[in-house]
Amino acid sequence: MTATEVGNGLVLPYAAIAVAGKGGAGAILVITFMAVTSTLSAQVIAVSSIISFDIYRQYFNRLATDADVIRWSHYGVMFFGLFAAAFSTGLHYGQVNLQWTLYMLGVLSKSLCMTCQQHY
Amino acid sequence: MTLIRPRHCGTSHLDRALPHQQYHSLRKHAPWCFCSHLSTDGNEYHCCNVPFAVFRLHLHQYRWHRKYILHFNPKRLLTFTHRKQRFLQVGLCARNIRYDIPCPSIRLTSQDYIHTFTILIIACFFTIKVFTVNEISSAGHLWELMVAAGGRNPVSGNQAGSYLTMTSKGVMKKLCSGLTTHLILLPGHRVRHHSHCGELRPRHHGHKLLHQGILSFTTSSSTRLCRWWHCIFCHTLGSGHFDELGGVGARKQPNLPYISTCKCQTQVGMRVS
Repeated sequence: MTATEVGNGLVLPYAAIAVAGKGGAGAILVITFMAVTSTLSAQVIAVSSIISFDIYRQYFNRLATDADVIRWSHYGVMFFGLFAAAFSTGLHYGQVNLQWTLYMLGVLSKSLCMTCQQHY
Repeated sequence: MTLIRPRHCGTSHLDRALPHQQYHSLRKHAPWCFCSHLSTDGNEYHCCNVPFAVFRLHLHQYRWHRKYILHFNPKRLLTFTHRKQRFLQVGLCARNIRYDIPCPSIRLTSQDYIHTFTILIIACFFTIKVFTVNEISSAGHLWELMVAAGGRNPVSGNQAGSYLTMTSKGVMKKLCSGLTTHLILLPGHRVRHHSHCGELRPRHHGHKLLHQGILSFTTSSSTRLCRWWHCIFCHTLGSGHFDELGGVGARKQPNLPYISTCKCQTQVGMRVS
């Protein structure tokens, strides 16, 4: 494996192929699909709810009808889809690969854990 | 799953607004207040079939009027909203109309778990499958393979090129340098003369120690060794005992802070010969 492949997170598929053959590769694909769809679903719901309930109905139109709120939920879904696509494309062109992301997640989340632990 | 999730699913505002005793009293005498449903617009409504006067009586009895505002609209529907959040409709009292609309959006369907369940099944499959491969066969053998792989293709930056750790270059050195800084501060405020090296300032020694990056800060673990002093700043000078300890000596000294990791509760000090 090259360093690029490692950086792109292909260690797991290679290991799966070594262990379980083509079935392993398919299983990894299914895992990735499930994880991505689940995460995206939750994010879309959260962002659209925030936009429609917490921003639109709270600050712009307090007398919004159900149809208004639902329409702004749809706007939120479209906005978040475009934003997520653009942001991930920017990460790709910014040479940010999966390895960097995982290191960044570890650094951020673990330091936060220690902070919270000390705080309590 | 619908896109709209009600902000206050499950627990009504009134339930949370009431003290414990009033809550149970109300559950007993006015159960209609808790006949709550979530309507299609995402708000939580309380529906009841009692006259408005009775409802207002209850409202004042439990001092809800301090917190909520009543609205009476032409449709003969009584709504009450939070005083501070005027547009958050927290309740609805209908005199003749009973809302009985179940809200499907709060029901967690199997679709919400199917992703996690699938990933779990596949993870279990891999866990079992890995150990059925002849090359691996057991957890101990897997460990040995990982260690051997680190020796065969060492990972730059890791301790001994191991795969079993993340980037750890100089971690112990930095850790011990930082720790030694604290240790030096224990006797460091006192200026002493070191006959073996001619230095007068322990702090100067301390900086030198940091630059040299002494790794071992081990204190002695036996009482006999603890009776010895050793200069923690000039680790090149050491008795036979402390050479093995990387040049940091220890002595038991009452009424002073000690290193909790040391079995005999010693304090790092320096030998003044």
